Amino acid sequence: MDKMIIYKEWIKTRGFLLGALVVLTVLTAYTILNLSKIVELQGADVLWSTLIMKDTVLIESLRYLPVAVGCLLAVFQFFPEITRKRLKLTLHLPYPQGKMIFMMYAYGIIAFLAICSLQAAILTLFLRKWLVAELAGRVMRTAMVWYLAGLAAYLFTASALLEPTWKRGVFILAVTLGVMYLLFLSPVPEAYNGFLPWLVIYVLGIQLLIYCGVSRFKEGLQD
Amino acid sequence: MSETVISCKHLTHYYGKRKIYEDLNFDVMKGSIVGLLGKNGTGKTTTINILMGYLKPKSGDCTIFGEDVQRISPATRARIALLLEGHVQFSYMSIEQIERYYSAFYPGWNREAYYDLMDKLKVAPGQKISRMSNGQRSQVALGLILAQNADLLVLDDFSLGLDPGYRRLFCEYLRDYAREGGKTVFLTSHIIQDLEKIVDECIIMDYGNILVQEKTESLMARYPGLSLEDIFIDLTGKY
Amino acid sequence: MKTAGRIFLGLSAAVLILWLVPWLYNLATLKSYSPPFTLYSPVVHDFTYLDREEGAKKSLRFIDREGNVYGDEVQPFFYASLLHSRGEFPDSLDGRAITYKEAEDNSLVMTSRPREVAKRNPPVYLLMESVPVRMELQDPEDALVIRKDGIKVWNMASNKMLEDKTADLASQLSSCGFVHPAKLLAGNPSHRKEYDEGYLVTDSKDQLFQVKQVDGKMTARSFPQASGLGIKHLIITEFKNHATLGYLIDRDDRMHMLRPDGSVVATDVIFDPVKDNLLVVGDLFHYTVKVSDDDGEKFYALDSSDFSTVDSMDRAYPLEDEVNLCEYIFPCRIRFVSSDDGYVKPRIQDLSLKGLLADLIILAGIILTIRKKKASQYQ
Repeated sequence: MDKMIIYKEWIKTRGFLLGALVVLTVLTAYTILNLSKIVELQGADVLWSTLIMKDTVLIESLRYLPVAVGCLLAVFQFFPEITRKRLKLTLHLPYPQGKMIFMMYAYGIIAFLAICSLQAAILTLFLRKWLVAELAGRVMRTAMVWYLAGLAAYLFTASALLEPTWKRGVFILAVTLGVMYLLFLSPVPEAYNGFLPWLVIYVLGIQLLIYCGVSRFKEGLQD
Repeated sequence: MSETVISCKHLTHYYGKRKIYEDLNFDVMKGSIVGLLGKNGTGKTTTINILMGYLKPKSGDCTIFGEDVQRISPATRARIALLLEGHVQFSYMSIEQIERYYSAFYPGWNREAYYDLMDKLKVAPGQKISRMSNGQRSQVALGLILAQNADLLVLDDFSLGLDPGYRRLFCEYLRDYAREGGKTVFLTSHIIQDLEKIVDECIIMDYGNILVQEKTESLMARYPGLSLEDIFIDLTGKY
Repeated sequence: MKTAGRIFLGLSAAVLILWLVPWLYNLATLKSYSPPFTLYSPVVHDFTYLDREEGAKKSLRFIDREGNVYGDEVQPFFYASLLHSRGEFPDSLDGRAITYKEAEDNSLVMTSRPREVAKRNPPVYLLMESVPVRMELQDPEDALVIRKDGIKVWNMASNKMLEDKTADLASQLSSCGFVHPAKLLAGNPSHRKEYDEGYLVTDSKDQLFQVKQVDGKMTARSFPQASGLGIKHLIITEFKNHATLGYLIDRDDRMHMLRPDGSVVATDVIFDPVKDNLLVVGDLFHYTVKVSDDDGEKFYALDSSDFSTVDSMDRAYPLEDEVNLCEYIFPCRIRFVSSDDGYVKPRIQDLSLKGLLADLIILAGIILTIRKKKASQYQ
């Protein structure tokens, strides 16, 4: 039964995941190509100097991609569930309802993290070619909060879609915007290092909104 | 003594300040085919939603197979086949994919019953359900319902959007399925003429309460010469 | 689960409101305050501040603590080029002959802001060649990488460690008594300066050293006189006049001057680099040192020869007299960034009892209204 739950989520999202993978790979490759051009023409020391002397991590063009992926993944996964209230079919299946919902968004989280891990691995591979571990690590530690923002976007979007009343759904989206603003508040590299563990705990807490929405759906709440 | 499959006691529900019904009581016994009839907006889908645990009533209790409908266990849900209004399905799947998906959840899954109907459809195995007509989708829904081999079938307005041919197909399959297996069926509809031949018992609702809860045979005996539809109109008023 | 979700959403919204609403309010209503530019005058031997209003319309106007008004001649070193162009630069001051070139060569300005200090820097430092082949300093080719087991010298273009240079540096540091890992580093790897002094470095025992590259070879030097200070911050100074090698801030926030000969001179300046702004304007006779924070400024006039305190002055910033509406509405304010550091983290400020009481009353009202609405809904 667990495999079939994954199977259903895969059917809904395979097209999007493939597209996201292609887009992410192309944009990441484009960024790497730009950096490699700089290295070719001016030498890798330009990258070193920029990272040490300026508040930049060279890959800022990629910062909003995880949010876009997270948000759209949630739409592709959960929009089919809410249209014509198909969620009733899902919840009616002879399978613990809480576990069913968990499996659904756990699939989304894993799919999202898999895509992000791939991008992070590609970036690390190329950055380590030109930079010492401490500088490559600085870039990736800074990018951690972008990935966290993507995960938050996924969970918040799923919560907003599963919320049966549009007023609260809009409220959830308003909170989402506020949290996104917080997660992109400072462009200073590694500015979030100390706060990151707490932010991770908060983002994992967004799951509660998903269950809350499903509970409210089951009570038949509507506008 | 026949087992009570569905039992609702003192069911009351409002949408905001609008009363749907108050102190509604009914039982559905094992092996019966019960039709919940009423005009649009009288609370038929509301009742289905309450029974399936998708709506919390203002007050009252409902049980299915002895379990509170708000907390039906997965094992009991395996005994209930549900058809939602409009034959809503996972329409992003094909008929093969949806069979593969559902079969994993139901231990008594009857593959032949499903494909027996699907062979009649004459659609490509990989065709998505979303690309089928209303009638074809209803056939897929019927196939899934029958294949589940459930003890209780709950059907919300099964005839919605179907032409007479598909409506007849549905009624015939339902009747044969229920009678052969001793299954219990609880269905709603606003097209009365289809139900005359299949329902054993009628619950006719009006705005706010139950007008009649009676065996179809005895109800029709009380109104000789009238069809069930005529009786319904007579009881509920023309409009 | 439903209750937990509701609480989570409510708390998230509350935090966002406590953050964004006061921020928006301040954005709309904040009036910035610019304290007047103040320098110690070697002419009148007092602190003089620039009177902006008059200065904007007429010539520069300086006022001392007694209220006496002067022109730009009271700051001959700061306005040296202006006075020199008018032919008004003095040829002596306090009985000492001075020249315009001397004034130019000995003028210096140095700033430090908490935001530059309180942020996470990578443990990688560009290494310049201190004695370039040509007269001008060149872009660095190598970098120092600070690791637990030592300071590595890395070639940036090839991204490879330079074994020989690293071994050379390790040997030099070892002979000076360096105990790894390095704790603090201060340097200025820019070629927009006259010369390069490499880096001031403290080790794990807070001992002070200098590391630089001379003719492609690594050199290290220790400063025994700086031992025992408990150095918590370093600033390297590469002024034209070579007056100092750097400024050392000790565990008690006292500023010490490190001279090129290795001697350390304590001053009366108290400066916390994480909280305070620092401005040093130096000339042939004096250093005006300004230490400021959100509440005010403290000025020190130091003798430029021995860094003894000649004079000092405090100036508190005026308090805001306008009513802040937020303190009547919110129990506190949450901020996530600060102009004083480069970190994002929650900071709870401006606690207000008035706001807390107001919110409790509003919350009680909301709860009563919801309960009343629910009760009447099904009557």
